[in-house]
Amino acid sequence: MIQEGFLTVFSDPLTLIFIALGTIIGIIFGAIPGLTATMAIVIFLPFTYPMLATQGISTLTALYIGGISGGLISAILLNIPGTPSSVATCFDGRPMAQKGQGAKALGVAVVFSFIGTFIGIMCLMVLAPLLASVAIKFGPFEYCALSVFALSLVVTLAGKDMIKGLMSAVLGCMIATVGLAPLDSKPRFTFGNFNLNTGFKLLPVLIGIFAITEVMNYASEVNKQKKFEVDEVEIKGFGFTFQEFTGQIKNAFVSAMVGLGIGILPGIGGSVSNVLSYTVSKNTSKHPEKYGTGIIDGIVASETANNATIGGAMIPLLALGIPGDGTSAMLMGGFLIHGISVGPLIFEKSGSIVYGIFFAMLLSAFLMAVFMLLGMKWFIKILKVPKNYLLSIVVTLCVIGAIGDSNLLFDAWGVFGFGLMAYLMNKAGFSMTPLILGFLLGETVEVNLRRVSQLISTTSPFSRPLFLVFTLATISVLGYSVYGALSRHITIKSKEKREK
Amino acid sequence: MNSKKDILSGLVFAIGDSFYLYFCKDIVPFTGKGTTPLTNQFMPLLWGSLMMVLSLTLILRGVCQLRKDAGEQKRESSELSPTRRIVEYREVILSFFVLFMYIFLLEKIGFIIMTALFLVAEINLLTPKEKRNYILSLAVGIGVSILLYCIFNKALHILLPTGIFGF
Repeated sequence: MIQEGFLTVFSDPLTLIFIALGTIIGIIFGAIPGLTATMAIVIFLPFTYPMLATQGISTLTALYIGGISGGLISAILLNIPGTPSSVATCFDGRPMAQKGQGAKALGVAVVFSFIGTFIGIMCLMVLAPLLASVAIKFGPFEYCALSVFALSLVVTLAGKDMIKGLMSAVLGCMIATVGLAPLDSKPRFTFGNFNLNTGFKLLPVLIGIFAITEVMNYASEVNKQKKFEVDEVEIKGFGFTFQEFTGQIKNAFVSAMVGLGIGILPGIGGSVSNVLSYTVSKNTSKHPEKYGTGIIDGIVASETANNATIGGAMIPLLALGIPGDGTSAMLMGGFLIHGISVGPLIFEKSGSIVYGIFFAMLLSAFLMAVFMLLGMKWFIKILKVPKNYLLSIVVTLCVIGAIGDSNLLFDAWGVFGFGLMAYLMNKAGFSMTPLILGFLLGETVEVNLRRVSQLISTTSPFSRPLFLVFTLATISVLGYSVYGALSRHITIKSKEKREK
Repeated sequence: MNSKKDILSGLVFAIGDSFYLYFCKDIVPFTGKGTTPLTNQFMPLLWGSLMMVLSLTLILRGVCQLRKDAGEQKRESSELSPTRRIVEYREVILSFFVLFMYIFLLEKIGFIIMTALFLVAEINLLTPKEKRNYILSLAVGIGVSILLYCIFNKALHILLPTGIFGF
């Protein structure tokens, strides 16, 4: 299987070309603030329709890797993170650039992005098959409890407002009930419209939520856009010394583990891992006061973690069918379009394709480092491309992507409807990540809960240890966040009383 | 401002959820062989009820916060009137309108013409007034529209709406 996977990628010149192109385009999308890795996948998904499964998914993962890594360019040179995964890179990246060490900052960020991606993919190759082999033994009890646990994690960790997080997740579950009911195929909320018999498709939902809202957010700030000057920087060699590299090994390893752990937890992703890793690195450093003044430690922590998250997010996606973050949810759409069902049986049914994708990801990580080190001045020029033209084309590609999958204009309306809904919900302070997870997991929860209701007369839930573990974990997570919210509320109240 | 947003959001969700719960009555439960104790109505009713509780909680939270702010005589310094709010979000409203018309007329008029029109409109909406270049946006709109048609329809064989003109 491993050998087959290797040959599938490296013996096909077209696949290699697609991976290279995907990496370059991903870097461009990541570098331009407002365009993200997720948007890159959304837009280029229709281009992969006529490709073979390995070619198509390799291209999408290359976009993912390039997109997450590309954010470091604008983070360091403009103090604007190209993607949410590069927020913490700004903290030390920009001060370094201002001190005339821009090339060093970029070199460090690129090399440790590669290291983070490499570690993440290695762990993915080892852990995903292991987890899948355990998950194969899951029954309705375990799947039901696991889905509810994943939802509870997303709700409590994804945002500050738990009520709005819960509402977002429940709304996702409600949207998932539209169509023919699972198990008995009775129509629900279809109103006689045959387009709704199969429910809302994943692609229009994700395109609307991710891409349309970004464009509309830009539209709301059209008259407030600031013109920025970009420093011209060229990296010579790696930009830093071997001694500096060896001094960061421990920092990089710890950051990679943080990124990997965050990636595995569903619904969180690189936007949290880079900041968390930066905080951990700072708190465990011998010189925390230097963080934020322009040292490479901060950049190493941020970039290693956000790239390790890529591999981490793919672990639950492949092994359990539960995406680790929004971008891997989009990748899940890519897998489905190419006829690959993610979940525990993926290694049995499509093992060679999956291992091919692993090798494609390793190649993409390597190419990302090479392209960015050698071609940095060209990527910097891309930052000057006007976004009004880019984003208008993005919307058109979104509509094509929605129509191209099923040849139904109804899906384009889905993009519009979900885009409008997501924009308004964002303005009202609702996070979209719980909604996406609710939409993805709602049917899983229902199918398995209804099966559990059939089995419970013959099988005691206490005889299913994993079911008990997940249930206890769910109760702990929810209990902890309710306790946290109450503590904060009491602290605020007592502070107000003291002030009066 | 947050308290008013919470009340409004809660109300919208509660009203929407009322419709959702109302239409649950149209779900026909399966009564044949292999039926499960929990029917196909159970989950929609569960989600609907949970959403109603959460919506009412959000409204209540908003009302309590509003009363607290009124009691502390907090003034909303940056609150905009509805008219000013529409003006401020003019580009967003128009962008959604343009997107709506694009999708509505796509099958009737055809991909190339509608995409060109959409791109011209959207490029100019996303550009500050003083920087708009209508000729350039027209050239880009037509050029990109034809290019996308060639790539997707001719090269990738993805069907795109042809409309009354056949393209």
